[in-house]
Amino acid sequence: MAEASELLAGMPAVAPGVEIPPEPPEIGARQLYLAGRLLAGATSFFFLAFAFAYFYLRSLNVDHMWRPKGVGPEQGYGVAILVCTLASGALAIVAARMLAREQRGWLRAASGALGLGLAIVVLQCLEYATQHFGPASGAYASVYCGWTCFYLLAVIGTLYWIETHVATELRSRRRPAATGGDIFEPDRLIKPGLDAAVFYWCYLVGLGVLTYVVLYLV
Amino acid sequence: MESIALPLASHFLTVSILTLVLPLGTLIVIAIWYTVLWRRGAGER
Repeated sequence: MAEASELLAGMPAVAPGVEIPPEPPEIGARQLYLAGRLLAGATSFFFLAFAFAYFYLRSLNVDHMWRPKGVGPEQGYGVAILVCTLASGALAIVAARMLAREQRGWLRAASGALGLGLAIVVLQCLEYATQHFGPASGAYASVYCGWTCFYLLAVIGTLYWIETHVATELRSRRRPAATGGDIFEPDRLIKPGLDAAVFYWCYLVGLGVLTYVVLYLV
Repeated sequence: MESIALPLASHFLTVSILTLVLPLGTLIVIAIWYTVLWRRGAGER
């Protein structure tokens, strides 16, 4: 007896002539909501590896090489990065709330959040360029470089995510998207998309605070 | 006979707790969070 997959092989998923209706934007909105939360959960486990390495290596302190003398981050850069992170997160929340109230000025708040987010990247790169140790200067230095480097990548990715919504909004103000595509009224996905991106950005801000406390204060 | 003191036991205990508590703690916290989200109806607002 032939398998069902063999019988269906080569057949179209939808019979010819049947028109597939556009997907309602509510489905995409729900997926974006869930995607932000799933991404936050996955990111927690990713950065858990660095937190684990920090406390594990610190407690072992093999050959007293946990943190040799002279190895330590610049506190000034750390505070500046923390301030930019918190301010960017606050502006992103303001932008999301303004968009929920349909205030057109949310773009300015979102742009401010993006600018401050980019400042985090610049400050961290400056710190890398001026610090007097590298990833091979002991266990702390390895954890510090790995943790901050991957955090920076997460920051850049999330800023890009927020920027896509800003760009989409600018485009939709000039020329609204057509409603006859795969998604019905795709411009209605800007708000849930920004909500999901801001949620994840706020999660990363919280992670940034934890990173500062562990790497700079503990 | 000269005794050799290895500072192993305390470290072993610390890293054992770390190995168990950190991943399991994170897993439990995230599982509770997802359960709360699910019960509230994720995204249906």
